[in-house]
Amino acid sequence: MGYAMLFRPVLTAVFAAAVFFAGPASAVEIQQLTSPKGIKFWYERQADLPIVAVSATFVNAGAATLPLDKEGLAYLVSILLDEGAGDMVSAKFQAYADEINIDMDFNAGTDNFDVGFRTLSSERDNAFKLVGLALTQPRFDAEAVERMRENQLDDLNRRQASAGDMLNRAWAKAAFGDHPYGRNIRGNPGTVEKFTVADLRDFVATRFTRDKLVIGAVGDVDAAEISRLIDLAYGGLPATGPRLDPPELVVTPPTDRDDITIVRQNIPQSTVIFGTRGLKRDDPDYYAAALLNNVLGGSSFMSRLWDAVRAQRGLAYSVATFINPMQHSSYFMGQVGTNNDQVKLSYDLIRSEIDRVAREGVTQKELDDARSYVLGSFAMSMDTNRRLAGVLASIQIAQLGPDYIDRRADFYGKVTLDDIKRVARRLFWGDPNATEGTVRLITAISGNPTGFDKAN
Amino acid sequence: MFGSRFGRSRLAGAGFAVVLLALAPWQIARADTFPVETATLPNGLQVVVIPDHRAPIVTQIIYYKIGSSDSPVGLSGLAHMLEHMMFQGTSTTPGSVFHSAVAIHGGDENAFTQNDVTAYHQTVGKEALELVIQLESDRMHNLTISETAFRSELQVVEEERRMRTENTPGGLFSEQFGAAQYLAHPYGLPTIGWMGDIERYTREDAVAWYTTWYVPNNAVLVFAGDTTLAEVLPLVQRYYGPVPSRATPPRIRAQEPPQLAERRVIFRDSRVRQPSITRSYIAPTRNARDGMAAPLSMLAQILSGGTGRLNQSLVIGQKIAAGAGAGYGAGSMDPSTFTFSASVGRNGDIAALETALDAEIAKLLKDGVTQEELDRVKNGIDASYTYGRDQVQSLARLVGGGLAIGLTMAEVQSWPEELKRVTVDDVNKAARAVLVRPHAVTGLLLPDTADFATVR
Repeated sequence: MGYAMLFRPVLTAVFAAAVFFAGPASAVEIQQLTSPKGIKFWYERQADLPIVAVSATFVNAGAATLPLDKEGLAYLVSILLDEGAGDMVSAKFQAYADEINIDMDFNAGTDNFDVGFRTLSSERDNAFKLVGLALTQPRFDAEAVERMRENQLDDLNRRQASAGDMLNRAWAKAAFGDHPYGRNIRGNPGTVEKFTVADLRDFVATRFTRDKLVIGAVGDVDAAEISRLIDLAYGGLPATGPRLDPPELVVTPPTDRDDITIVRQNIPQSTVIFGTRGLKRDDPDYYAAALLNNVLGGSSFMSRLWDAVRAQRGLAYSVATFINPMQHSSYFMGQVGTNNDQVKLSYDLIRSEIDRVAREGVTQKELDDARSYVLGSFAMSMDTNRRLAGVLASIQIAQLGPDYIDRRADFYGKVTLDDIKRVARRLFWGDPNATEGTVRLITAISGNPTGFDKAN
Repeated sequence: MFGSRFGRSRLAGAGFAVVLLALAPWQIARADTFPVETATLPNGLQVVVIPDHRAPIVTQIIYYKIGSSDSPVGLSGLAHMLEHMMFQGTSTTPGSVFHSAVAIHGGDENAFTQNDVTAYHQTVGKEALELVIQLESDRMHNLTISETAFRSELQVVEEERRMRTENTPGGLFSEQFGAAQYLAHPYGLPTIGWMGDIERYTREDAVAWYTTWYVPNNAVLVFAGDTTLAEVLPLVQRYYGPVPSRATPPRIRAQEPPQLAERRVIFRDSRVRQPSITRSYIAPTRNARDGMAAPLSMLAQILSGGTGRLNQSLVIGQKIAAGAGAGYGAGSMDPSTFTFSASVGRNGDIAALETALDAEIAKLLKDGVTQEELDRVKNGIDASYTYGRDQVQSLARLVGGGLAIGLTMAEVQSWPEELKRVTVDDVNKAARAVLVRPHAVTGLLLPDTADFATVR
């Protein structure tokens, strides 16, 4: 039976969600290890549970590394990796995966390609070998390729008519234009129909290389054993591959108006996504931006937008914002859903709160509370071995160093009210040093909203 | 087996005279299950602790034994409306103090309403455990419901309904389908309520609901994470102990009459690109204690997933479906459903798919499942519990949800063993008893031809 919640975090967004690191020093003891074959990885031993969880990511090996005519190829690879490898055809591979109870997840992201899995410790040799086989000897048999190609084309066809998908595509087009970040991870029928087995093999050979690989692992085995296992899965990968990074791109809204795209649909509620430039993970202002976002529309129920739109006026079930630092760009984004007749009111309230934060910054109490939330919530992001493995990988992807967990309280602690105001002006006015400015947003709306006939 | 417990003793007025008559933690430490400690307060509050000391965080979940299907006639979804009001402040903790207190500690919090239960949960660092106990116990008996807050939150619930149901063809279809499945039982009503009913709620309805059902003797309180019963019980006694118990009226729900006529629900929407079919039969749950739930659970798994029978036959073998699976809910108070679902690809033939699905069901009823199929599914039972232990919050929901619908702790704990005892004969008998055409509703979600969207 169905269920309903007070609040659902809606913002899984166009691309991978942002990852915020912060929190009190917890009991995480990271071991930096190197396998016998020279693969570096981070490990935490967790003896209480007889499982091994691995979060592995090929960085800068995702959809955005593909040329225009191969749009969607990374996704097809991701759904074919459990469709046969080595001497096991699809049915045999999947039956074996069931038999050893491996829990595998291949995900083609915009920047990166993720390979996550969990295994029972008792099946660890079989599981790590199976992952190794999938990455180094995928079969790409004709039957499986055609079946999964059909699957992808069906999926695309369905998504063509989905309000959420149309909305995200419209926003990405407006924000990223022809840059690979503006493309669809699942591609389009024109490209997907033409992929060959050679394309698939080329993707695997050039993306699944050890120089792009980052690994976080959590398990109940000792350092020597996990190192041996890591080699079983990843030791057979080529050492290096070509750099395929897309160019850098700065998201820039128009200077004279909001860039508003309306996807007209005959539905009672309009969904609005609004955004602008963000900042990257290595930006010195990253921590100030994370706190700013928390005060404005972050994940707690306490944000200014939550208060203005939901708590005070009941105009939406949820309203939230985030910053997504990507490898080669970044954006700030938020989302709200309000009935067609009142959505303009929600939008105007949001714009006015964004304007207010750029003008006035935040209060000391808001800064303190946001800092407290961001620091405290870090522990909650590591509540399972699987998520902890993901955090270990994420810290490496962001190149933060193993002492990051100990230092993050300090990074957030140094942020001042002036920092937050400066960052707000940088993001929302386009100039950190301006004393006057106007908020400009890139906005996409699905539904049948009233009041948007004239440009903002 | 796990210590004698109080029944629903009345503790008239004597706020703090909390005496715990007996406390005998029941612990088991097998790899495929998990330790549980239980106690019951004199005011009838049932307390469960699932210790897990891997990270210094704790989850508190309280289940009230009252859900959407208990809502008064004409006020469908009222239970969910009250869930929203539970965040609007109490006589001692006004407005959003609850939210901010949890947020300052970086905690996660939310709530959910299901047909049988309403539940509230927080996950916090261990240092905030007493705080969330205090806050949750406070709103068990001190809630204030102002007309202003009620009106505002009513709009929020309307927006939530638009978002979840009215904006999507799938949401509208499921609601219509569910209504056809039940001739009399309120499981046929949407969990969030019909829009017309939502519009009729009054503040007095919400107050009456709260006063009637939110009492300690009607709740199950679960802690999961870095605590023990010995540690948490004094806090529970201090804060929840003084909340007076009060007799609750019987939960009277219309029960299904014999279903003698199969039904067909056809829903057309212009946004549907690929038709799908749903076939659903009324089915008993664990609460019926008739031995059917475990075999039906195994049957659903035999039919589902990549290696499952429906995918193997309809998708991979006959290439007539783009996807196919089965589902069954074992954990509701009253009869739930056993459901088949399948969709066609871009140029698929939904009529042919229905014929093929009928043939699969006929074959299942005639030849039954095989020992090999059953063994494949049984092989995953222990593993799923081991993986489940990585997510202690999911265990908390398993236990809390089970107890709240009337299962005993022994029944909750013995579920994997019940599943393992299932024989091929059990599965086939259950299939033949449940998959009876007059009990079935067939739903078709079909495209319309009209244009649905234009991008401006």
